Amino acid sequence: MSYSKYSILENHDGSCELSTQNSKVIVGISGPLEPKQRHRLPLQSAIEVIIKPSSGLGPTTREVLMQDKLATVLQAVIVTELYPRKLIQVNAQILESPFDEFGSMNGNTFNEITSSMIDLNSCFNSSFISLCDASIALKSSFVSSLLAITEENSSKLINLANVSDLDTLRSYNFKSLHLVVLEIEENKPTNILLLDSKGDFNDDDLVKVLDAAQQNTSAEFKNIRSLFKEKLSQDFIWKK
Amino acid sequence: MSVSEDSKNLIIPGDILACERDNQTVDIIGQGIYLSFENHLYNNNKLYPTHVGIENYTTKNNKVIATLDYNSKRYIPQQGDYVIATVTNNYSTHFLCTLNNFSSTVTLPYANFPQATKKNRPKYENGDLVYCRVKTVDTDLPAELECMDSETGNKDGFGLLEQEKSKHTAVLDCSLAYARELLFNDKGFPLLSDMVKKNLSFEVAIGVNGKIWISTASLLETLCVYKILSKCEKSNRDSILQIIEETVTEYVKE
Amino acid sequence: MTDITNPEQQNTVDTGIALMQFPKQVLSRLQPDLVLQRHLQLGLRPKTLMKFEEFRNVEENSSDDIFVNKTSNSDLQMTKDEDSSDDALILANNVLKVGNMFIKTELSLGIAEFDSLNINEDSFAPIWPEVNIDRGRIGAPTDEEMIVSRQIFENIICGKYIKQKDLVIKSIGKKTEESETVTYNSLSEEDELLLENENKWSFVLYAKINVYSREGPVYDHVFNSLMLCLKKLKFPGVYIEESSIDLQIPSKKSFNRKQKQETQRTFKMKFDFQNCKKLILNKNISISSNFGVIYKDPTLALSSSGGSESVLEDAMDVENESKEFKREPILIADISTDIEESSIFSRLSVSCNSSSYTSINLMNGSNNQKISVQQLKDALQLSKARFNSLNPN
Repeated sequence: MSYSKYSILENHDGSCELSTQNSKVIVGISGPLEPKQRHRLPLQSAIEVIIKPSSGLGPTTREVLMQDKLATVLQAVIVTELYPRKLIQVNAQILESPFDEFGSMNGNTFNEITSSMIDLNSCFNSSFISLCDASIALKSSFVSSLLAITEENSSKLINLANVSDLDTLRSYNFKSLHLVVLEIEENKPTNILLLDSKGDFNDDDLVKVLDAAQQNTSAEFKNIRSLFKEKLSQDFIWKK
Repeated sequence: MSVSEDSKNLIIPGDILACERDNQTVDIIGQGIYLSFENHLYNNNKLYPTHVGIENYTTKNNKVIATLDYNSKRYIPQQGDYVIATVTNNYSTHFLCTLNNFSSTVTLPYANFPQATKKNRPKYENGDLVYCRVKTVDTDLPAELECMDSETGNKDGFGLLEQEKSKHTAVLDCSLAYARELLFNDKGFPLLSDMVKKNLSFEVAIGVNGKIWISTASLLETLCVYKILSKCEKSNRDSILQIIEETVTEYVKE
Repeated sequence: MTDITNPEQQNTVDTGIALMQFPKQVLSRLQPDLVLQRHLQLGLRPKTLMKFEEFRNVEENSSDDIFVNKTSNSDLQMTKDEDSSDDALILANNVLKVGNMFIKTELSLGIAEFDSLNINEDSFAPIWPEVNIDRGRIGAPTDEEMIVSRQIFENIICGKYIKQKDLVIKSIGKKTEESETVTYNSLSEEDELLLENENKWSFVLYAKINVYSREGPVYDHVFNSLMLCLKKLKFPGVYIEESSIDLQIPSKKSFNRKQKQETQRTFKMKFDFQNCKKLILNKNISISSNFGVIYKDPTLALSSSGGSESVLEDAMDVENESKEFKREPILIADISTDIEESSIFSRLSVSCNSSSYTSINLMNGSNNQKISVQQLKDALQLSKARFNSLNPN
């Protein structure tokens, strides 16, 4: 289960710090802003996503790919036609990544991919809460889940956001990794907004992954709903 | 409406609205509820909520109005709103103003002042605060402000928020819902009158763009009013009187 | 599709708005979505006039030769002190012609020190790609180039094609000054130099990929080109030239100072292209294909029955009263023109081999045109069929 704090950056319209068992991300959202000329679209808002890595200067190619995935999903979720010629800026800073202390490779090239997927997963969930905090018009909700299948036990799915022991995380020999972002309508997971599967898998694995992602999404969304209940009572605390 | 009682009405984007569930007809949709072009064409005019908030139905002149109440920080101009604008530039026909940092600028034409003539132009400088009203909002143009009641031509309290001599002024940034409550719900939320009852004398202008301008006779009083207003945004209604009491004794010991 | 205006537009002539007509090339730049929708109504795709689930023709061209830039003295210099010099060594190459688009892939090689303590032997080797989409500009790489490069990098690792172990240089040959041939596996003579360099060095793979006359998203075709290239990859042998071995023994200049510098031995490692070994891939190569989903817009429907005005008006009346507009999703395989690219936002890229999938990347870029699970299934099947039809193994 992830833990999140909203509205922590005073000067952003919306922000959220989200920590899972092994990663931590802070997202700040500003918008709708007056954009630069090149961002100005006549009929819809532009969405700019900037992701900064936990160490070093970024965004590097690793973050550029993450930015692209995040921006594509946000494009589908934000009601862009409500803010024509405006800019919505999403800034994400990775604070903690499980592979930080050794550098991402750590002897196994697979870690490079695992680490970026863990970061992206947190960025997705954190940016949803930030968007709601910033009161940007959204068409629906979404929750991201990161699931993995290992070589040793291919029948069991591991939810990587729940692995708290870093040594266990580093010791996994992954067969395949799946990042699934599901849209939530009427309290139920419905469409796949993003599916990023890598590794070696077949149709059965995919069905299992989607099932598990639906369960995880429902559970996480319950969490988010109670978070928003609290947020709303804080927002209107002077009404009581 | 209370949040804790009616938490069933908590709406998150993607949820189904009560009017959709009960097949109720809605005549006017307000903030936070949206009818997309696609739903109009293919989905039987299905409405969906776009923000996290509480749904609210009212009937006025036999028309059902649906809104979603939510709080936010960034103001988007709406016609008829009272706002505090900052002058950032001036041109031969209009001032350029901002309502929020980094938001699109809005215009304040010289013609929108009382007794405007070609020669009589207001002399505002960059950085001046102006209390005005949003006259028109067009999706393809910057919003236009006015400094008078355009029907009567009266000044009606609009105009420059001056720093007079021997006065101390400050501007407080607050959330939009709080500013609206202070401005429109004086009876239900008597914070300002409670403050006056405590022998605080102050002048105040509230813009629904989340800005409260305060002017008092002394620096300590200004600080005191500022502190009370910002503390009350974050606390329960029951503790308002206590906050006023404490802050007044802290700053204005008499 | 030579008639650009639709009936409604013609009706507006007498209301005073001048009718504007554009040549179809111009219209396809101005209103790509409109052009695409009109083609979809006819059951065709713009420009290429392909069917919805048709792929572009792919021609593969490659040579088995290894290219070595002769000007750089035909050897790759490798000493203990300095890194490999700039070279133009191409171990495998491939040119893929997809429709009108060309993709040129060149695989090159370097040597790096291999730290067996720090590097997990079970891990899989990356390829370091550099994707250039040539469109007559210079400067920093575009976002698209960075994204494609990174995707290639990630998917090569995740696909587990090359084992890190297979890249380690296990035996190093030696060329004595007398003989012309390189001798490997010299068990007879215990050569200290060769022994200490065994399992110490590892090959590093670079891929330089150029895309010419880009049409549609390039990732899948770039990936395929690299895969076909990888199939041909051969590693040269590595030997040490005896004549290049140089010992540097520091001379004691002062008795007071402690002797810190150790004896240094430098030598040159060279590639032996006579003794090439083919790379054994850990997994069969996979083929990637992309898909897009777009919904047919019923408001732009052309009247099917002869196109007479009265029929159209009748149809409009009926629709206004009772009939709900129904949108029909269409799965498009191999997004291949800029018209399709600029109006299809929901995309899917699948790479698979005969037994399993190696990557799926589904992105719904538009809320009105989502990819359903059924379309995902269809796309997965089509990608399998595509793999079989190309049959790269």
